Amino acid sequence: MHELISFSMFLLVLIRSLGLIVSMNFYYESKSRTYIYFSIGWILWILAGIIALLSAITTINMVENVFLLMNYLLGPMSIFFLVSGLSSYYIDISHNKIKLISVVLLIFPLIIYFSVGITLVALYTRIFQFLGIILIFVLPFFKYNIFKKKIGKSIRWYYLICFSIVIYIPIAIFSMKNSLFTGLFQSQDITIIVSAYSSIFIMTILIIVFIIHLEYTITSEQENQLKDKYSHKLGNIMQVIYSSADLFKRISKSENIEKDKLDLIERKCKEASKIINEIRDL
Amino acid sequence: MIIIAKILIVDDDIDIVDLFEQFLKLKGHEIIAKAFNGSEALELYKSSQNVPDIILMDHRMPLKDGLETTKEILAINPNCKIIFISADYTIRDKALEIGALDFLEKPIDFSTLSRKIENLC
Repeated sequence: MHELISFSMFLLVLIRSLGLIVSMNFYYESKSRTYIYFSIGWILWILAGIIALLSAITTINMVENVFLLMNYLLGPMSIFFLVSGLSSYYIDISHNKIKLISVVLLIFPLIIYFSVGITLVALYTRIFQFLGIILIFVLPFFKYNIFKKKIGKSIRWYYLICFSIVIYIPIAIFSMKNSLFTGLFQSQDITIIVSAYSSIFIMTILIIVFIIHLEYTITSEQENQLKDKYSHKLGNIMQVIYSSADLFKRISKSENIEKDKLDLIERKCKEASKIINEIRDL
Repeated sequence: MIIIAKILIVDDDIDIVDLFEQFLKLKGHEIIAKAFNGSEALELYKSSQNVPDIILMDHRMPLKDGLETTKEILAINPNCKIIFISADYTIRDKALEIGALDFLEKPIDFSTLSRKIENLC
């Protein structure tokens, strides 16, 4: 493995760890299933990276093969969980389907490995990774209205992820030109290595930025909804108190009613409504 | 001169509807209907033979909000006079933009409401 690849893999592991920290943090705050998918995705992607690095260190062929096999198993699964996390914002994904697909993703390459060998598993991994990444691009179009509504202002970050995918795919395919099975790992071409890993860096960072931005947008939206809900309810209560006092003054036949007390109620209602507006503006 | 208007009150809070009704009747206006959500208001407007001169419209209501209801009523009758009465002043500009004639922020006093209705009649 070229030194530049090892260094890039190491950096990628660090960036993916950042993604894991962010996702786990959001999971503890929101308890959303989305962040379970993201966290699993990042963990598997980190492991895939570490194992790829270990495969470069070892000199024993069999151990290298085992490491490569593990990398080929973890790669597609990590992409699958990250795509599940991204799509769970706008599509209801059944937990059982996720489990079933995960098992298939684990067993299918093992069957290929024991029946044909490592080379075909590598090819399967490449194809699945490409398909998974393309799904990030394609899936929103199936439920575009819901996607647009749920993603809100974070949509520009999603488009940037798609744009980075558009750049990454041709570079990745070009890097496989000389070696269909090992692809980027065995590449010695610095231009290909730099461009491929740069696009992966950008894509990974954009996914993290997107997750942070979207969580911030969702939280702000929820805060505004709560503020609106409670200020509306308090506003209605104030209206009832205010109008009752107003009406009482108008319909009361008695000269002895303490109008100053009713005026006080009205004045305090006005003051309270101003405070409600201040709460709404927070 | 006494101005009498036919009024439709739309608000999800039954107490507010009740108080507005009492006051407006006191001033001589006719309450032709009351609705407690946007969908009900729209149905009443479509089905009623007695067309209101003025609709008092809340915004935040179940089933259909005030903005959506206003849009649909104005699509049926662009000359319909709608006054928004809402605690949510953030929708003020939008309400006026879609065709509401006025926006009153809760809590409103009855004198203001009375004056606004008379100005529109």
